[in-house]
Amino acid sequence: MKRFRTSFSILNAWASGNKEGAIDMFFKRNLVKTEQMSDGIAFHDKWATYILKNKEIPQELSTKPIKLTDPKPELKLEVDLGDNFQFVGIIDCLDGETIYEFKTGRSNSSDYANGKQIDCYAYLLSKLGIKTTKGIYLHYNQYEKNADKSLVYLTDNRLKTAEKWILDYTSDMYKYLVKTKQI
Amino acid sequence: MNQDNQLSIQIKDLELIKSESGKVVLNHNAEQFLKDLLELQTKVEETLVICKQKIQEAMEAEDFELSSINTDNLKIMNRVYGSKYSLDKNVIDYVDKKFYEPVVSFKILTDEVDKYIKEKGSNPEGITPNLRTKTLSISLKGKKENETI
Repeated sequence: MKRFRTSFSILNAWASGNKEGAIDMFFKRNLVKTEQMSDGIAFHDKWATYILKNKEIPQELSTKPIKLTDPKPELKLEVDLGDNFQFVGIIDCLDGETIYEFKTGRSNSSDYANGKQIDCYAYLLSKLGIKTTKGIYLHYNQYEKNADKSLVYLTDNRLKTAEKWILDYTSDMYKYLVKTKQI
Repeated sequence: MNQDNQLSIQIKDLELIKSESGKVVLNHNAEQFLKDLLELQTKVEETLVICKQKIQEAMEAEDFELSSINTDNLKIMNRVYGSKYSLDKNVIDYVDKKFYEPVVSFKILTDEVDKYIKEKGSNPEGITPNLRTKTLSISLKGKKENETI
């Protein structure tokens, strides 16, 4: 059997009740790229290049200099969850035991820190034997040209919660798609 | 409970206070537990205010752009809230209309409604009485108004 493959974006849409959006993302259909999304992609590409070259977080994302030791920008993860499921994700930057996630737009970093994206990545990294201790959401508001950041301590409890979140929603979505004969 | 700068209430005391506090209505000597509780609340609130100041100072010293810290049990936020700009209504005639829109608000004229109900025996159309419940407040004597619970 081919593994059922999800990502944080798909599961987050599913978890928030946007089943249609999650299924569209899963089947890669009706994908409309908004101006904000294009902006975000362009910034991410630019920042990944900058980080590789300069080994520091771009100033747009943090006025305070953040030097990096061994940065891995755009780090792609593919982790098998049991025999049937697979979770994929791209970490904006992993440096030592810190996960950095970059955000653009108007929402404050603390809004993202209420979510589970970094927690999920930390859990996936732990499955690969990579320890992380903290996550930082770095947000750049390109409209107002300002930045803010939110710190998340990646404790065992958070990783356990993330594991449950991933497994519960992956299983839930899988069962739904089987039941509705979409897979 | 309250001696030599000590103020402590045990969890079991709180249970006792909950079950016994009604007695203060019939016996004013039962006030001691409530007085201790209010004093403790004041101290805890004062301490929390200072903790918040210290945390805010530490966050801003660490990184002025640090907006939140999330731990297992706490979410600490340091960000701005509310409207970004204020409108000075005193000079409204000079403010360019493209920067604001008027908002209509309505205020009930209670005396007029009371008069109508007394005369007609029914509510005016579109107006219904609110179900209001009493709220009990307790305050320590000699404390400021905002220390009332």
